[in-house]
Amino acid sequence: MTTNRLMLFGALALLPCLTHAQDKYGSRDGGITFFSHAPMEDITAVTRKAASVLIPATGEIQFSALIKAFEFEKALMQEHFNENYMESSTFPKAIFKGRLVPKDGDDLTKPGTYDVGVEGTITIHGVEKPLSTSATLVVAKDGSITAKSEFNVKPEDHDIAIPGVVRGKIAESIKVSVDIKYAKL
Amino acid sequence: MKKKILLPIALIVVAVAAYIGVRMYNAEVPSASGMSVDTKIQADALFNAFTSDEVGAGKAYNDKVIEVTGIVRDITRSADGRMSVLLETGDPLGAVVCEFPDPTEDPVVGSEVVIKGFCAGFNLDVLLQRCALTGTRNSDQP
Repeated sequence: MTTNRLMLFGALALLPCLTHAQDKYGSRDGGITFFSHAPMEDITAVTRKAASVLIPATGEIQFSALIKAFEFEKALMQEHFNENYMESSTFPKAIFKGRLVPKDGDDLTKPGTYDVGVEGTITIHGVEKPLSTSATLVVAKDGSITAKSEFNVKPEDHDIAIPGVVRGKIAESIKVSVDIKYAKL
Repeated sequence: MKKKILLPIALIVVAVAAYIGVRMYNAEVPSASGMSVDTKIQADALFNAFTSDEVGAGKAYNDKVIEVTGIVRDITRSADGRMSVLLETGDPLGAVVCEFPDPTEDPVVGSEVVIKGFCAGFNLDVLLQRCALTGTRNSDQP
């Protein structure tokens, strides 16, 4: 067997691995919840329509959510959120782009439960900020992947002005919870 | 004598204003059911409007009650039971997604439906929320 044929055989043998390494996972039904705890009021809003793409082999991850898709318990809260604070007609989406950082030895392409770091940038209200947090990734044997994470966002970091008159109703730091189930694309 | 009349009237006015204020403050986010329609459009035309000019389409359709007509591609349910009806757009990578707040009768995949909902914008799909089914016709019907 010539050297060229050996190389070709080797490349073909590796092809399934390379293909596997490039597997992308996606979701259009990602859940994102935010919770504000303040002395005068607790506020929760949720969307179940965040879009996300994940490449387990490289850890690359992105998600985006429509601001107008966040639903509140009260209509007035939703109106103020969109018009007064998030200005969602001008800044319609929140976007995260980053990377999962697994622990040494963890292979996110194999079934298992993994605690990972998350490093990236989050853009809210048109203002991009670095974000560093942790997440739990469950890679199921059926090929699905579930990712869960929690982190905090300060409105002032994204140039979101909270008038003094409602300061007692909105927390200085908002807890964001992400729960996304991915399927192979 | 005037004071005796004015005081109860003032109290009534304050009570009514407080009642209206509390009602407005606690009002729930409305469903599209029972709302008047701002725009009627086919699902593929709505999708194409956003893919060709997302900003312009957002100005035209976002926050409006849109009545969309289209063929059901798929039906999904979230973990909390909310139903989403995906309408064909001619683009396999995108749909008009109509999210229903309450459990409702599932339309048939392949049937033509008319759904109204509040447009929330475009994020791979066009999203209509708090939807109501206003009409359906199965594919085997004339």
